[in-house]
Amino acid sequence: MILPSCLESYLNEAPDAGLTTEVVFSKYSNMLLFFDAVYDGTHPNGNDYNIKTAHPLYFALRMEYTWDEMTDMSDGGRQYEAQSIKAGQMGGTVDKFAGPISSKNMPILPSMFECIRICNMTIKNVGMLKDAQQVDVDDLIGQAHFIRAYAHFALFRIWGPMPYITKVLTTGDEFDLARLSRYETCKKIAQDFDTAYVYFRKAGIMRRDADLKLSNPNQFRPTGVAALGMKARALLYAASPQNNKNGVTDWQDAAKACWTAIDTAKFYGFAMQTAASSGGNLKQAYKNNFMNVGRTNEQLWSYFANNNNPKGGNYGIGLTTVQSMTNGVYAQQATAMSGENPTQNFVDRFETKWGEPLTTAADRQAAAHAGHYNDQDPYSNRDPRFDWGIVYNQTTEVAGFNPANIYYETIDGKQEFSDLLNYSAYLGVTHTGYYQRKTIYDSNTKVQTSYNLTDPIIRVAELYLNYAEAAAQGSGGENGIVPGATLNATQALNLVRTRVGMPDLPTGLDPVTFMKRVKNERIIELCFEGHYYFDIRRWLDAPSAYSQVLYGMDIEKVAVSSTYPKGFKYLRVPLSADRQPLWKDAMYTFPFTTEDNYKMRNFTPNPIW
Amino acid sequence: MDVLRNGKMQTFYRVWHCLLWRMFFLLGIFFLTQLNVSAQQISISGTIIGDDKVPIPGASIIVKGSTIGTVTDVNGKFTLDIPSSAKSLLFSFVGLTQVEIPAGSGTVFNVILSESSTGIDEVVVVGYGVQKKESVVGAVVQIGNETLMRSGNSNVTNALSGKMSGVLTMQQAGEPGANSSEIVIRGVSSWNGSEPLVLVDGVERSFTDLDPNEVESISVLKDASATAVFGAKGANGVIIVTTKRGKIGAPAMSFSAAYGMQKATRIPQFIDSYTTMSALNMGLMNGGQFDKLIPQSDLNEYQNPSSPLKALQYPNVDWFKEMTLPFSPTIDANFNISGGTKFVKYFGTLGYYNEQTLFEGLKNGYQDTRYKYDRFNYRTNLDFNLSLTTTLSFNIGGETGIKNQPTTSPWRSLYATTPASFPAAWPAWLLEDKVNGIPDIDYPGATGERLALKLNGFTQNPYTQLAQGNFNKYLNSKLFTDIVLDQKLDFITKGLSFKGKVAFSTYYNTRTLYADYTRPEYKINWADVGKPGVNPWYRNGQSGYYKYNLNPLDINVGGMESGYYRDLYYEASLNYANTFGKHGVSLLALFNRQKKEFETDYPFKNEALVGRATYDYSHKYLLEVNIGYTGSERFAPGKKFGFFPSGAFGWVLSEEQFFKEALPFVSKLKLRYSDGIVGSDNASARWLFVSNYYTDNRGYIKEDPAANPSAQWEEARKKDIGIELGLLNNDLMINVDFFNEYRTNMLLPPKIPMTVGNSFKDQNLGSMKKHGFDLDIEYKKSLTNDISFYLKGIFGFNENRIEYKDDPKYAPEYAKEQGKPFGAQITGAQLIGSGYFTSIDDIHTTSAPIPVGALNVGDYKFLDYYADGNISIRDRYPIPGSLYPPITYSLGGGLSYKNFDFNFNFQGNQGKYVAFNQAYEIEFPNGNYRIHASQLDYWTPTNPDAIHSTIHFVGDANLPNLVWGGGSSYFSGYETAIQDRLWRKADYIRLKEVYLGYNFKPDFLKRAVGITNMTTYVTGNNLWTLTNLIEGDPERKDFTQGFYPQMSSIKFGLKIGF
Repeated sequence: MILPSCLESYLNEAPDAGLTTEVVFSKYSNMLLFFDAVYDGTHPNGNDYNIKTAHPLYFALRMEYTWDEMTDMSDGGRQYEAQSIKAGQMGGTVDKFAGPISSKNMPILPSMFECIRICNMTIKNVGMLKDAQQVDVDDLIGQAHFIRAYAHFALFRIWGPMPYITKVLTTGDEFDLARLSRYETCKKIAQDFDTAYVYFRKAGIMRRDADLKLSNPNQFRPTGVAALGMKARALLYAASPQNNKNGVTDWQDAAKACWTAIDTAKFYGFAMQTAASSGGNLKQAYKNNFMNVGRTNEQLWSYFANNNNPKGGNYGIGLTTVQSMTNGVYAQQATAMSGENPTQNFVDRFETKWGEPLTTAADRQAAAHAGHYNDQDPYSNRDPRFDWGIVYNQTTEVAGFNPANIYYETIDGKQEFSDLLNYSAYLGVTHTGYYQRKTIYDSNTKVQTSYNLTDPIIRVAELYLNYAEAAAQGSGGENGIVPGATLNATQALNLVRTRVGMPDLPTGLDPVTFMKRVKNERIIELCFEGHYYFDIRRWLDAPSAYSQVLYGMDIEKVAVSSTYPKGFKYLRVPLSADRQPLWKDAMYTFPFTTEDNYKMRNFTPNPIW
Repeated sequence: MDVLRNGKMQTFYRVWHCLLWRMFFLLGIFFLTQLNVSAQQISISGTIIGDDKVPIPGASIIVKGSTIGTVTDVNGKFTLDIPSSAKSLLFSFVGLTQVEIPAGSGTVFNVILSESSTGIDEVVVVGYGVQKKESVVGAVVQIGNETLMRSGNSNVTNALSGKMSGVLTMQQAGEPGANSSEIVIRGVSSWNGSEPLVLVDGVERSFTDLDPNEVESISVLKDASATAVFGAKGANGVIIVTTKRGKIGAPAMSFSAAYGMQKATRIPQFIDSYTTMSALNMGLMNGGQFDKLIPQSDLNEYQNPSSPLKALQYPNVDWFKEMTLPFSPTIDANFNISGGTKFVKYFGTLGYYNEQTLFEGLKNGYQDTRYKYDRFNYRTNLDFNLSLTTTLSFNIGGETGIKNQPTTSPWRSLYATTPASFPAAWPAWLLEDKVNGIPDIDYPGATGERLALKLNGFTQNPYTQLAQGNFNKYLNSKLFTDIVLDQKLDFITKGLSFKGKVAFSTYYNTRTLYADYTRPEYKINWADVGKPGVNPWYRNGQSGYYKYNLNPLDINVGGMESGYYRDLYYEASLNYANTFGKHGVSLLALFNRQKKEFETDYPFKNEALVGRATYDYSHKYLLEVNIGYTGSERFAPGKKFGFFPSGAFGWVLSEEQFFKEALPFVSKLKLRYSDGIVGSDNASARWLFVSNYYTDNRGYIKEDPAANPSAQWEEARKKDIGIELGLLNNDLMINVDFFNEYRTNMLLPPKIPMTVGNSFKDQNLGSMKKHGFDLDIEYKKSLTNDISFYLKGIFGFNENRIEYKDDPKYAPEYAKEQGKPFGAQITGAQLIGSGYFTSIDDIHTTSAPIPVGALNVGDYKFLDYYADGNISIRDRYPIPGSLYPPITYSLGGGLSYKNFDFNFNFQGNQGKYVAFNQAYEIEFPNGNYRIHASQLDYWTPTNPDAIHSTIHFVGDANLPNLVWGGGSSYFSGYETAIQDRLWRKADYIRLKEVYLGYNFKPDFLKRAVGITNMTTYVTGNNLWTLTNLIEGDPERKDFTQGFYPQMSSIKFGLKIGF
């Protein structure tokens, strides 16, 4: 029209970001700011949108419940989504994990795909770097492969097989990618972890602190050892019943990778925490893996959820309100969400300190015959990890309660509830008779306290457990071993037991019994760390785990007598119906959102629950 | 309605006519005098004045049956030579009644021209100007000040309700200072917002807080012809508000004041504790939770407490009654003055409006947790005649609002809190009474009322919540300033003028005061009552102080709240209007620019070139072309500007001779047709056309969503056919407009699969169509000088369809939005059979979302739409209804008898649905012991036609039978809209307004104090409603957690004119 150019110039203005592809990828410092978004970047709405969403601890911090609460391992005090999911009802909760994000959501699915994209862009554009040393370039490529594999692995565990995405998808590309098989997906993940390892080794970054002081500010980044550990885990998943393709061979491949991981970790100084690691206090040393100190030498790669540590940070969630971890009851928060409440079924998995299993009534009877167990004094003489991991009635020195009173007494025909069982005052009260202790600060939490939490994403103990499982399945049961290894399955497992002061397993166990013990050991050692939910699925044990009746302990204070030596009457009672699990096969994977299901066809949708 | 009193328009027209006539006569007289040179001439002269005794410049004097005539000069004087054969003279001025006087009655004619009764509606405000109503060819409706004032509403948006065809208003709440209506013109038209463009005195500004007293007229432009000049801003319709201006005459002052009383509409029915807890027992039994049942003895205590103490232990609290006042008052006061001299015309107004709380709240010294709103309006509009051809106008107007409100809205807890768990507060006697009372042994001698403990996050004790003393006070201020220069350029060519305008608008809102007190809350441990030495009183919060330490009052000055802006607008235009015989021509060329600095955003910029040409042949054939060429900064280079043409023509059949002969009883028939393109620049985000990298809130560099390099405005092609029919001498007027709209290039976010790991910015992909009609019928009649009446009916219908939306590629048809109306319910569910499982057999043979073992007889039975033997998220499908009603109607009328004036207006909606969720439809949400009216009628074998399923109590979990489609009971509501349960019809008809006034002109007062007229009046709003919605106000859309209800009100007022 009239003078359009002069008119346009008035409007031809836009804020200048100054960040072009050239600027971002040619400068190393910018490249790092771009790539590091995988560790700590945010969605435009300000929430975490990065690899953290795949960490079980972050899940607990964000969702106010945990992966374990979605299994038979624990209940949540307050009725919430966890119990519904456990009973096969996902409904709109799907959106919290897979959907568009809002402040209440846990956008694992979209943030993993974004992490994959960032990694692919980094790998694609790394050649544009003009001011980086080769070591830094190799480190960066190593990390990109590692995170890409980790993101695929997170997707695989929750949603099942995935296409393996190694390019930056843009307009014109096919977005509707076909899914690989379960086995293939694991193998691709393992391969990518292996590539990461190759680059890390080239860069000389097998661990980030040559001095073993764990003080390197880059500890939040993965390393060559972590890559080997994760590769071994991926192959263990590949060999597991749910994913196995080639039978025993797959287990042997896994066992080899597991051994390499153990061997390399040891070579580079990683080791299980012992009493010596924390001034002779074994319990402290053990718990340091999960809280207090940040990082330990047992962790190959960990997420340190501390506000002062930006890259591992815990933005948006004050630790004082970590309701999934510290029960509202402790801090006298009437409406706070519940903490994790271990079920009786899980508590029974802790052996006596003499190594006798207590899982079945027959087990318990046998132990009682040996004088090692008493139904009315059920918490004495147990695996030390029981004491460290669980708050039970009369536990001492926990969270400002000394002892922890979890009982009721009948006074004048009326039930009076103790402070940690006061249903009328607090919504988050346990319905099982237990609270979780593994990640609870033992000092006074009556006033809500900030303390450091760490997610030991992969730690040395797991390497041994992985190896024991793979070696035993690979052939040979308890004596299973891979060429060149110095430990067989039993020996590896016993190392984990010995560390906490448990006796060795009896020898001569048949392979089936041995596997039961391996699984039990794994469940105990890695409890509350976000493994169990996925382990029972890859073992195909989930249908039976979700079909059992979950029990809690009904604890009544009575006079001390020979029948009730502790002055408490303990009675196993089933949890109420709304806290019981239910199995359907669709529950092997989380569903996608309805919209995602309708977007693609080659990428077949998961069954709806 | 009295548009002509508008000084600005009067000026315009007087001048315009003056110019036209002068030109005409200079030409005409030149020739005529040549022809009639030999005829006998008589010289006449005189003055023409108006009703107000002010001379009228530009009035015309013409010898009837000839072309001989002249116009008055600036002092209203004229001289004219007329032939001696002249029979009579016609004196006229636009808008005033023509006067015919025999020519032989003298040589000096001093004539008074009065306002013509039919001239009132003659001028219509359109985009960038005014037009004579007769020549309007676009779809425009307009109301004047009198209509606004009669409505009794102090909020202008609410006053529009049911007044104009095609204009839907929906008042969402009644909160003081936050009770304006959502306005939609001809139905919703886009998912990017359907808000119309609002202009106040030609500048984009909000009109919600204007004082109705300062508004001269409000016109609504609906079709492309009327809105194309606004280009990319006009597609959702345009509302133009014009403020009052002065006119030449002695100062006229008026003072008015009104006092009103408001009552909440349709608040939830009180359901007592006994009923509630009995229903709870039913729910517990259904869930097999027999150990938690409430014993009958307790139920009896709820019903008939055996002692005052038991009445506290087993309370029965009607929260609304406890917390609200019988009515909440409002006060309106307004003073205005207007008048003018030859040099300056002025209008000034001062207004005050006050809305008081519905709640008792806490008023204690400087603490005030009540809802309150004070509004001060002011305005001065001045027009200076700097010369005969130059007018300079200054407008300064604005408002200041002071809003007081509690920090936490009590509504959620008011709708959810149980009547049964705690008393509103612990009464004072409880501490004092030595026999029945419960003294506080920690603080012996303590007296006075105590706040009762809030139970938990969502079942707060609303009384405690409000009485704790946390509140905010906001001060907001709008200031609108305009300078307008109008220069006639007749020296270049007759009828040409220039107009320039600079307008500056600001708005800010600050929190001036907030307090964060937390008074102690008390609970009684009933088990400890009577135990010696044990204090049953439990105090939450601080402990160990007898005197509770209140936090100091925090005074926050300058805490800017969101929404502040400043906006600079300027325009320049050339106008041309002239008549050549039977040909009338007008032209407009205009340029404007706007720069709006909103908060700290990058400035929003708009500019426009506008053109209009109109042609009128003998008032029979009308033609109009409008062009908007508008640009905004938010679209891609090359796409910033949009070209929006429209054309319209009109044919006034009733002016045709053949028509007059054939259908003499039809006094008016005008046909209009318009067609054109308008745009909407609403978008979810700016800078859609660029994609780079950005820095996130932690400093990481992140990839932008992929750009839409050709991002542009939405485009609406609109067509309109209008028929204006007048019968019975225009006593009966029927206007009907048929419209359709096709909107394309609608911005929407493309649905990219998750595998990409990035999103795309909005693309111009969507399309939607809409059609409907607006009808209004008015019958007006004066029976005698003393009695006149009118009846007016309005009916509007519209429906829309989404033509294209980026639905997921493989979605089944029923799950797509495409092909369905926008705003429709596509995630719905319907019940089958009687709606309920009626037997155990039924449970075992029909699919359900939950396992058979968990089902109860009496639970909802859903249609398995996907037919896979499973009720899951896939079974949601489109069900009828939309949040926006397709049919709106109103019926109004009025009667004047002597000094009495009576008016009423009914307004209604048909086909509107509401989201009826959470507190309204779900029993015991979040474990609160609270039920609502809909749940009382629950299914039992003896009540098979119930409107609610059997009752469940699931604590703070979700109701399993409802959660299958997603959502949770308390936080977001259930996402499956069950027809007639969570998705309910909300048709209504309501008596929106009633007005009864008595005018008198008391001579004695006039003599004594100069009062020229006095009116006392009563107005009523929302006095009666008929609706099929169980509870809550049907004008609202969202029924989830409770809201400040709409008010019905009665106001008594007095208006005095000096």
